[in-house]
Formats: sequence, structure tokens, C-alpha cells
Amino acid sequence: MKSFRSHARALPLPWLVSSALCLAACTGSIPGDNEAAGGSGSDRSGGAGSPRGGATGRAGAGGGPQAGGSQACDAETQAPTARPGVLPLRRLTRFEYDNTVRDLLGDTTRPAAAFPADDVGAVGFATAINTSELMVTTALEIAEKLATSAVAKLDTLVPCASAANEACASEFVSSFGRRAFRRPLTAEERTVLVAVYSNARTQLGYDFKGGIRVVLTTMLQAPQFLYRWELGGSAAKKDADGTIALGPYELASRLSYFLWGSTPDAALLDAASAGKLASREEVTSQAKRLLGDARSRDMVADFFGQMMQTRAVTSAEKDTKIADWTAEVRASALAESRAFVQSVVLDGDGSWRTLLTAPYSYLDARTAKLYGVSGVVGSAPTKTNLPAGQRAGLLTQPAFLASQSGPTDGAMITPIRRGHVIRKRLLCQEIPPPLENVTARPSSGTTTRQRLSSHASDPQCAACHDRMDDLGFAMEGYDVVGRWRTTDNGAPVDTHGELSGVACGRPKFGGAVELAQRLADAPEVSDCLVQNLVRYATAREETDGEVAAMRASLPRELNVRDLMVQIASSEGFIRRIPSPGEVLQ
Amino acid sequence: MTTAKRNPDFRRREFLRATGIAAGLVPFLAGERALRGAEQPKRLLVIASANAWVHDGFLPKAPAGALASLALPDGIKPLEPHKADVNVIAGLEYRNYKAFYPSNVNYVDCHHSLPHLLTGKIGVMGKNSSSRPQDGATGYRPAGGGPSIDQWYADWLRSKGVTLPFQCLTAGVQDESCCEPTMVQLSYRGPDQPNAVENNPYTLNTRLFANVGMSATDIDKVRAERRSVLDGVGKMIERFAKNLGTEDRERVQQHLQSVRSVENSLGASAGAGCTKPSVGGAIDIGSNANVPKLVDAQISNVITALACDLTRSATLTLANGGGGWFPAWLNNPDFNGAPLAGNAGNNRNHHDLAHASANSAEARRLKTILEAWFMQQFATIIARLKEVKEGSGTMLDNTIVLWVNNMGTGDHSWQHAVWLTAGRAGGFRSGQWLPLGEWATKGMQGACVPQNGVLTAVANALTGSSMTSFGDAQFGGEAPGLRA
Repeated sequence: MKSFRSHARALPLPWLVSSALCLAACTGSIPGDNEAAGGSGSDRSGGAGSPRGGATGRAGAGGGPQAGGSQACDAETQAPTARPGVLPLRRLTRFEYDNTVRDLLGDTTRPAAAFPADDVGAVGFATAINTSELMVTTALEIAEKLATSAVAKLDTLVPCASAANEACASEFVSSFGRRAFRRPLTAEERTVLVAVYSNARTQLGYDFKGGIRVVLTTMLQAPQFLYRWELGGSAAKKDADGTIALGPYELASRLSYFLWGSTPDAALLDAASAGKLASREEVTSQAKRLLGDARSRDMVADFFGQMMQTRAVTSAEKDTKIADWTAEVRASALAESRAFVQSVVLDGDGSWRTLLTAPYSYLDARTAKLYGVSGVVGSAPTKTNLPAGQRAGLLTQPAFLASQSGPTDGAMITPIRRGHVIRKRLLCQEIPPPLENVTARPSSGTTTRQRLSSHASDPQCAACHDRMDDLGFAMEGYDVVGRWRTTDNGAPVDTHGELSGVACGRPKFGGAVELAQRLADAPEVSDCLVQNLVRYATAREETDGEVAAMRASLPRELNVRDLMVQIASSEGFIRRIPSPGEVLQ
Repeated sequence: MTTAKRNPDFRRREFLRATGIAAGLVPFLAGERALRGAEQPKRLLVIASANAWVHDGFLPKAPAGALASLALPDGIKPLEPHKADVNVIAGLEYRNYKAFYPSNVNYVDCHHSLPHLLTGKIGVMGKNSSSRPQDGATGYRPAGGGPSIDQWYADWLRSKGVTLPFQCLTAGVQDESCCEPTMVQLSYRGPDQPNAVENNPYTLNTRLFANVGMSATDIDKVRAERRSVLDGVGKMIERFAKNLGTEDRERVQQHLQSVRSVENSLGASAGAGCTKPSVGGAIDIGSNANVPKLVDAQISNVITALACDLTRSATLTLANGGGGWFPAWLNNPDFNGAPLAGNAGNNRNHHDLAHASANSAEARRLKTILEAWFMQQFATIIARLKEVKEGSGTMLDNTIVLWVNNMGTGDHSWQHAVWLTAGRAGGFRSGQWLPLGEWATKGMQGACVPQNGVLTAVANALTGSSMTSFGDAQFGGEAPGLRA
């Protein structure tokens, strides 16, 4: 099984030893505190869970610069070849469903919030896998509402509506169906749907509009709409190398759901019908076009929001003593983080380093108050320089800091949780959960860091906490809602530390701004971005060598836009291998 | 039920009015039931909460016996008026969950035990990978290994020709606000097939009582249209699944089953004589401050649905497997104090108090106060069931309420768990303090018995069967003392 991986491929040797210690006992950390409800969306699952002892943090496995962790920092990378993977069947996530009905029907009510929550999934990003009666019931209820609104403007929805006959209904099924199912309908599908229309007219006694409403309600619950699998009725064909080239409509959908989180537009569907998604150049050119469209803005915010787990900020309630942390401020913090990634990636230099280190952000009047910046008015996020030396990029924004903190200042979970997410989501390295029944034994001291010092002094604790705590201590200059502070519980904060787990020794940092620089310098962090984006794009784990191959084809300083285009035109994106049991031609 | 009304008399009147039970409904339902069979329907309601109970503040310090003769500790004092109606069962363990772990692993992370409490079966590796074991020996996240008892009972009813509008109702309050599926999934349709939970009481209210106030003709019309639509959807699914790989095909097959099941339920009589309970205007379902209102609203939804025979099998999940509600609504300043030694130094929410409770008497005291709030909810549920007259008794006589907890102790053990029951459906006994295993003699040092014993008794009572086990047979048979 591919996902059986050992720590040996993932982590530097010292960690292997410490992992063994971890198995003996790792006291001092509290598993549940990351997981408690009312906490802020911590996500300990994600990553590639690996059966029985596998590690997941092996960006660039199969020969990448990090494999084994023993290479010199500047080791030349051999460009490895990567094979495509199995593309699993996935339903539209809430995000995708909402975008899809917006683009299909002009509905902006974002109805998918009523669906059961998305699964976190194998890849650490939202996926919709499980079906349940509740899902089916919700899909029915939403479809009924959407169809009722849509037929209120019947002439827009059905251009031939004045004919009000079966021929027009059939035409609607074919033309709207091609957009809804993202490919032409098969004859069988047309027959079923036209029969639904006819039944509504004859058995239910509905008029034309009612018939269209019923057939639309049906289409919006059909798996051809709900699932991303645009093969149509035909079986896939395996090439000599054992892989399958995605068909033009499948590829069109893969592109639009990756880069827009939504359904293909007319141009993309037309390109598919005209056979103009056949070459890598054509795919590249479409990918660039999609990234130039406003729809990509939501995708960029969604990706980084999931990767950094900043989407949880709106539900990150804090101790009521923190009076300024209202729902409005939380919404502004999220808006800031979204505007920042959108501007850097799509309007700015696109640089991954900029995302990690920018001394500016996009503030409104509410977030400006958190930052202690004056002169910002209004509710639109506006580019603003931040107080010198205090901030650097994504990690020092309230959306991240408040999502990954305890409920109150002095909560010892705060640095652990922040460090945990940095380790897992920016370095793609796992931290084993505590192994024995744990009783925390805080050290005495004034500051949170002092009280957590047993984590470093007790080797059993250090085995795991070496991977988290320093990263979190770097953030001790910010309180639980992300405001700058120089003291913690009356004593000066101490934000220095070392970045462990990277090939280049243990680079030191004096605080969050320097940590951000060290992270931007670390090849592991760039690999991890690639890994995350490959997973986001494909809804599967990266294959062996896939990340390294991607890195080898791009400059060392990653440009996120270029990376997205590169992924969209890669072998792993435009091809797949058959699913076990799949019927092939 | 509006939540502001704390006057018990008012609540009772309000409830009777809201459900329409006192006036027109009883004759109507009774008449309908007469068509289905002479007996009153038997119902199952499972409630799940997390973080264990503080044994000292919750369990009688006495040998097994009638609760009536015992002083109730503070945690369960709200059950005082219902002593004759409940059982307090101690000494349980989740052996089916432990069995998934290698035998040399002693710590079993009960944040993730919910999927196993009601199945009684050893779990399976979930295809949704966050329920696969993570690296590290404690990171096992098995999915449920079979149908949970609520689903099992719903299926049994269907096999006996009883189809209901909501064959298996799954409600919750803030159970999805966390992270991993195995922390929120209590109810399973089958191996690795979790039943999703409706966490929005306002949505659920609309859905459950959609037919209330509609004419029979209109109800028939909606039903006919939905049947036509779902029939079309089913045909589309059949055409979709043809070439897929095995795993994907299974998923789509499950989708089809769900569609068929929803379609079947359309034929059920849909609570036409029922009155929709008022649950107030929609509020933020994610906000901690709103928890009491949300719980109250879901209780109203579920009890009314049971009373109206919209469902006979329901679950209500309160928070998730690591539930961290902060009980601001108790207005007890002691909860605002500094973090207690022994937890991670966060605050004094439910989950943090659980961690701290092993070492801190103050944590145990506060947690017991919070546990009494949970037991007030239990008392409310029992009172509402008793308010509904059925035959010569009340609805409680035809219901089993089972309150489970995913942990045995504050530090999250799989052993020494405590469950509660209420109700007497099918000869289920009540009014007992039941220390099972060696709890009465050895306490925390004593051996426990698998929860399968309780599940078996519940399943037998509901169905009038004499099954020798529920779930995997290796975990033993029916626990003694639960059935007459």
C-alpha cells in the first residue's frame, strides 16, 4: 500500500530515536485540548494518515531533497519522474456546490451550508465522501428550493419556454444538462430525464413550468451533477503505460474545480467539445485564463484558508473578558486573510516568500485596531504597512493566531497549537499523538513559556514537543486574538527558538518575523506547499516523486501562480491510473 | 418550546399545547396505531455526551439497589423527581473499541470512541482516511464496525413493515464544530457508513414538521412529486455507477440505498395530527452562548417527533467526543477562575475540567456542577415523556432513553464508564442503581463489563426478542437486572 511509509523517509534521524521515546510515554501534552469543541477548528487528522506507524511528512519522497533528511542544504535535485495516481470519486464539497449553483443558476444564497459537514478527508482538505440519508434529504430540499427559484425566471432558464412542449423540455434537458453534468448527456440519461418531465405533466398534472421544475429538481440530485466524474456512459481506456488520459470534459471540470472551485464556463466546455484540451499547451493556456478570472479569487482564499486553517477564525470564540473579539471583528480578520492571499497571489508578485514574510496586510477599521494601526477607516480591506518588526505574512495575522490559540491568555495550549499547525501544514511533518494516558505537569513560572519548560527538560516530552513548542513560542509576541504584546502575565515574552526538522541544521530565530524568514528559506516548506496544492488540486495524496518532479521543474523561489499552472498541466493532473475494479474499454 | 420559560408549570402547558398531545392528537394517534397493531409503539432515544462523569459526584456510594432508598449525589440530583424512572449503570467498558488496538497498547483515546459505543462491534478502517490510524501507536481512528443500535432498531421496524417518515433520526448540538469524523459519529448504518447528524434545530424543525398544517391533498401532492423525483434520481444513479471502481461503486450504491430509503419513507403517514413545536427564531448554531437554547430546541424536536410517531429511533449528540462547552449560562463565577493545575491551562470548560479532574478537587467540584446541568436536561426529557399519556400510562412506559458517554473517566479512559437509562418500554426495568462488574466492591480497581450487555437488554426489550448478544458475540450477553 502506497501510504505505508516509515519515519525514516520522512524525518531526520534524531527524530526516529525520539519517536521511540514517544512510544514509551510522552507526558505533558493533552491530546484532547487540540480537539475540544469550542476550540477553534484544530485539525489533527488531515495529512495523509498512514496505517500503523507511517509518517506523512515526507515531502519529496522518492528522491526529493528532503528524503531521509541527510542531504546538504543545497543538494542538487535529480528530476524524478512521477506517475499519476488513482483519482477517487468525490462529491461536490459545500464550497464547490455553492459556487456551482451560483454559476449554473445565478443563485447566490450559498445553500450548501445545510449539507452535513464535509469530511476532512485523506488529503487534509475538505472532501465529500460519505453519503447518508441526511445528505440525500438535504440535497432534495436544496434542489427543490433552487428549482423553484430558477423557474421563476422561466424564459431565462428555458429559451424555448413559449413552446411549452416536450420538444422544448427535451432541448432543455440536453442543453442545461450539458452545463449541469459538465458533459453531453448520454441517450439513456436524456430518456430518464425527459420521462421525469412527461410524468410530471401527465401523472402529476403539472404545467410546462412545473414539469421543468421537477426535471431540474431531479437533475440537481443526480450523481452526474453531485459527483465530479465526467466520463459519461463510456468506460475509460488504458494506454500502453497503464495510465488513462482524462477525457476532455473530465479535464475541463478538473481544471475549473481546481482553479475556481466551480463548474466549467462555456468557453471551457466548448474547448472540450472542440478537442482543444488535448495538448499541454492548450491546458496551460486555459489554466492561465482561469487564473485571470475573478472566480479564482475564492479558490485562492479557500486553499490558503484550509491549508492554514484560518477559516476557523469566525468560530474562534474567546473568553468573554476579551471584549473586542466580536463576531464582526472575527469576520474582518478572515476578510483580511483572504484579501492578503488573493492580492499577493493574483495581483502581486505571486511569491510564496511574500506570503510568508510580507510586512504589510489588508486591514479594515476593525483589524487595524487589533494591529494598533491608526488611520484605517471603513470595512474594505486596504493594503496597509504594519508596525515595523512586528509582523510577517500569514503567520502573524489574527486569522491564524486566533484560530490556533486557547480561549484565554495564559492558555498553555496556545503555543502548542500554533506550533502544531506550522509543523503540520507548513512543513508537512506529522507529530505523533501522545501515547500514554497523560497528566500535564506544568513547570512553575510566570509566562506560558516558562510553565511549558518541562517539555524541553523532560526527554519524553521533548520527543514530540521539540517539533511544536519553539515554533509556537515564536508567536508568544501575540495574544490569543493576535494583538502584539511584549509581556505575558507581567513578564517579558521570550520568542527565540530553533527550527528543527529541516535539512539545514536547526536555524535560529529571535521571533516570529525571523521564523517566517527561516521558513521561507527552508526547501521543506516549499515542498510542503507543493504537496498541499497537489492534494488540493487532485483530492488524492501525491504519488511518489510527484512533489520532487514539480519542484525540479520550477525555480527555487516558488511563484504560487506558476505552481498552480504547473500542477494543472502535469501528468498527475491530466492522467490517472485505473481504480481497482474499474471497468475499462 | 421557548427557552426563556423556566417556570415548570408554564413549560408543561406550553409543551402540551405545542405538541398538541393533550387535545386532539392522542385519539388520532391511538386510532392510527390501532390500524397498525394494538401495542403502543416502542421508542428508543439515545443521548450522547462526552468527558465522562465525576464518579464521586455522580454515583451512589452503596451496593446495588433501588434508587428510591438512596441519596443522590450532586451530579444526578436533578433526577430526584424521577428516581423511579431511571437506572444508573456503572462499571462498563468499551471492549469492542479497545479490541481494535494492538494488545500492547494500553491507552485508548476515547475522544474517538463514539462510533463504537452503540455498535458493539469491533471497528473497521474507515475509507475516509481521517478515521484511519495516524502515525503513532495511539492514533487509531477506526470507524464504526456495523449498525448502531438506533439504526438496528430502525431496520428491525422496517423489516416488520413499520415504515416511518424518519426511520432513524440523528440530531445533535454543535457536534461538527470539531475536526475528525470519529469524534462526531455516533450512529452508523453499517460498517464505515456513518449517519450524518442534523445540528441545526431550525432546519430540523422545518423538515420534521413540514406536513403540519397541510391538507391531506397537499401532502399527497408533495409526496407524489418527491416520489417521482427520487425515482428519477435513482435511475440516474443506476446509469452512473456502471464503470466505477469497486470502492467508488460501493459509495454510489450507498447513495442509491439512501435515496431508496428516503423514497420509502415518503409512503409513511406523516404526522398530520401533530403540532409543530416552536423552537424560536434561528440563532447562531455555532456559538457557545447559545448552547442551552439549541439543546432545548433539539429536545423539543426529537420528543415531539417521537410523540407524533414520525420516528421511533432517535439519537441526540451533545457536542463531540471532546466536547468543550464553557457553561457561561450557569452564571457561576467559579468557572471564570484561573486554569486549574493538571490541565493544559486553558480555562474551565467541560473538556479542560475533565483533564484536570484527576488531580484537582476543585475541577471535580466544578465538573459535577456542570454534570448536574446535563442531568437537568435528562430530567427535562423524562418529564416531557411522562407528560404524554399513552394508554393507561405515559410515553415513558413505551420508551427507552439511553444516555451514553464516550469516556469512563476524566482522563478519557475506555473503562469504568457510566450510562443512564430512563423508561420502561418492553419490560425494561427502572429505578435501579446498577454497579456492574466489580464496581460495587472494587471501584476503579475492579473489572468492568462490556457495554454490549446493556445494548443487548435494550434491543431485546424493544423488539421482544431473546437475543443472546448484540454486536460481536465475543463481548458477552445481556447484562443482568435490566429486564423484568
